Amino acid sequence: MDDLTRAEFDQLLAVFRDQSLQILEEMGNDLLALESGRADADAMNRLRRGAHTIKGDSACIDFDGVTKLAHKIEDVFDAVLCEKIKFDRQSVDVIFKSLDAIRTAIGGSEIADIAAEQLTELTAVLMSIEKTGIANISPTAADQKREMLRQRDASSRGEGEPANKHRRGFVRVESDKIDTLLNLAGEMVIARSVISQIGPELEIAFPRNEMVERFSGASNQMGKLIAELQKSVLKMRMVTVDHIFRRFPRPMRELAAQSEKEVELQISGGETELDRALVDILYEPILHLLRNAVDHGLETTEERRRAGKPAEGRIAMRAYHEGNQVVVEVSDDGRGIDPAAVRYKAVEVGAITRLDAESMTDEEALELIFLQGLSTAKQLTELSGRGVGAAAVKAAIEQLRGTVSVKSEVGSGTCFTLRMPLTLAIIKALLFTAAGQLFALPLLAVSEIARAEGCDIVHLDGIENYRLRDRFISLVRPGVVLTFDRRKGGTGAALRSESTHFFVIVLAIAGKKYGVVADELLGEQELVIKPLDSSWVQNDALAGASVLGDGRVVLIMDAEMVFRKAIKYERGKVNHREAYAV
Amino acid sequence: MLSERKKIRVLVVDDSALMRKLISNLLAKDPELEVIATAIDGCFALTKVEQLKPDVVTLDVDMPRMDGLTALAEMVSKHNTPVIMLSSLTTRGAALTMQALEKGAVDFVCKPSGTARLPEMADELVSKIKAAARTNVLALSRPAAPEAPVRKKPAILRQGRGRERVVAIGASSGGPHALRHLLPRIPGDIDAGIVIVQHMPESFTAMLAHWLNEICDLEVKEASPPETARMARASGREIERATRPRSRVIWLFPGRC
Repeated sequence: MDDLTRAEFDQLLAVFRDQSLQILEEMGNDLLALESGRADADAMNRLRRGAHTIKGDSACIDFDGVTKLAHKIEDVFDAVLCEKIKFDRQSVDVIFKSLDAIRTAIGGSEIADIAAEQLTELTAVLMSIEKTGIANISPTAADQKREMLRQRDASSRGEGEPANKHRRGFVRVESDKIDTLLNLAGEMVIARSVISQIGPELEIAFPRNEMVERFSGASNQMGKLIAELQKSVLKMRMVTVDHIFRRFPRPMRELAAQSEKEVELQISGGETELDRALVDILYEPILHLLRNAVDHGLETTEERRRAGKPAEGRIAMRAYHEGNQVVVEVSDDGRGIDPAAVRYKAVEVGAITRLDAESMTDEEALELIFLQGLSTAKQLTELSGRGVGAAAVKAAIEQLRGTVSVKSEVGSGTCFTLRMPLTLAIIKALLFTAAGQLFALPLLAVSEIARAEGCDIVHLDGIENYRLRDRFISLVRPGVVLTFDRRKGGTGAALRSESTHFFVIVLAIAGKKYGVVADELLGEQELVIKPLDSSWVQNDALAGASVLGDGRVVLIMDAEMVFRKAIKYERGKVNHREAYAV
Repeated sequence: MLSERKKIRVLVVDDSALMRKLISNLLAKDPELEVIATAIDGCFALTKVEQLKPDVVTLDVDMPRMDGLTALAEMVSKHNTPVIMLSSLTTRGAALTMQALEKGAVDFVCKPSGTARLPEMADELVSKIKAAARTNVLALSRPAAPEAPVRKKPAILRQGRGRERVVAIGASSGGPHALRHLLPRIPGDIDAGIVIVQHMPESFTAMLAHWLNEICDLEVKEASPPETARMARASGREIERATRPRSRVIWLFPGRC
């Protein structure tokens, strides 16, 4: 029998890393549940088994440090299961530390074993726990009133069955394979639409031909099946929001402890489904919002008491579907954001003029916290209790073709709402032509469409503007988008259409409006986005491309980027209001 | 064509993805074996045993939903499928493994502890799977019915003057089952010391001794190291070899030694 080849070993390493990280996460959740007295009867067994599996696996591939540590952890759980020791807060802390050590070692960019020093330290503590079982706080509900953090995950625990039990019954498939399948399904949709266009032509060429009728029937049937197939594959890419949500109780526990505030984290809607690709990208922004909520949103216990609020601050995460979107809300019942303070600060840093500030509604003023310049302003953070990283959150969500909005009431709390498309692979788009080229814009971004003539355009500040009822909105000619290719240097004149009658597609991005000039509207259609090969096109104003049934290629514009780049391009010079319309 | 059909079809059951992959990889290197499926817990394993009728199952003990022992019982009683247990090298692992043997597992292999041990473990697993494929499972799970002790004059290999008489038994694969069959038939008043050498990891021998002890008239004890050394000198090459590293010894003593 041969030894393992290098390639085989690398594969095993990858499996080990994936599986262990998942187990560590599940163990973390079980530990939290145990600590707060919410654990089901099997939690301790799952913990022991988790450590056992990591121990066995790591031994197999020579990660001796991990093996030793996991072994010690398993011993502790064994001792608890045999009722030799009781499990207290300190033991939980040590186990958490040990799990973290394993996670850090194997989860880094380069998978590695645990450092000897750390190993010695942790195993020593674990041994002492196993032998003596430090304290006597039993993991039952009675003592847990003062618990810093409680998570009421009504959704997945509602059925009385922990989420990971479900998942164990699933087949794990590399996401690449699903994407390939999705891509193929998309190609089939296109191929089918070619066939469906031949049908009517055949009917004209061979009227009342029985074979043609059979052909059309089969073509229709195939269309339905392919649509069904596409939907099923898309579903395979979906996972529950719970995949993101369940990663938070742990950092929340630490955040709460650090800030010495009492926090209750409420989670609901964990069963809501969303595109798998969103999971990893959403984690950071949500964590950002949670951190802000704990640090700045919630008052100190003393302040809360004085304000007549319950001492325990409440932070809620909620997810639900709305139309074609997934909505995630992060809210707190803290002090809220004072729009006056935001206005003041925005004027002070020169982001807006005093006049702007005065004409703004409170809602608009709150949106200012997402501005880059403001978000790092220190005083604002202190004044309004908000701002750090809000711009980063916004940027991340907009990259997902989503939006962020904020609502707040001074004294009673703040709510951030993140809206993302259900899937990143398919887009409902409005098709139109401009300068002889076929374009598409995400329908979600379109707020209305207006018919216009040449004389409706007003030049303001070097930019074409269109009068939409009582306001002027900036206009973008889609042809200009084609000149943004980075490889070509981004220069060259915008292609302008000569027609005197045209349409203005009004887009609303994060509450601001602008218009895109279209010569002809072709209707709306669902498009499977194909990424543009970056060696041919490097243009961030384009989200991708798609092929229509008749073989024509349509360029899908990124509504947000088009706006930013077009305005910058037209103005020619850097203007700090660039990201700002109306 | 013929050889294709004769491949031994194996189902690999383990809740660890790493183990499933590793074991499948190792088995795939033997031309006579074919891994037809894997399963992540006892429930799935039973479904697959029913559907695919594998020739041999390799079974992990510690799994969620349905553990190895529960699944084992059904595989043996319902489907007569030969099962090899994959055990971990711990006291708990040893205890569970003995229970598994009791319930009809053909044999067991310890999970590898390091890449250096892999070839050795792979060889052991492959040969045990091949042996298991030929095993009548029902005979194994039958309780060791104590028949009347056999009393025949034994063949005596060597008899020195004034020396004590010793029966030496050496066993490897299938040993636990063979011993379970043999030892209850040895009368309690036998006029000889008995020594068994079983090829088995150290942490398992105590459990095996305990397990055998339950069914014998004689007392079965795991030899502690000094006894190992002393007996090795007394009983010749067979045992001497057994005391080398990696071979482990179980001693049986008559009531008084």
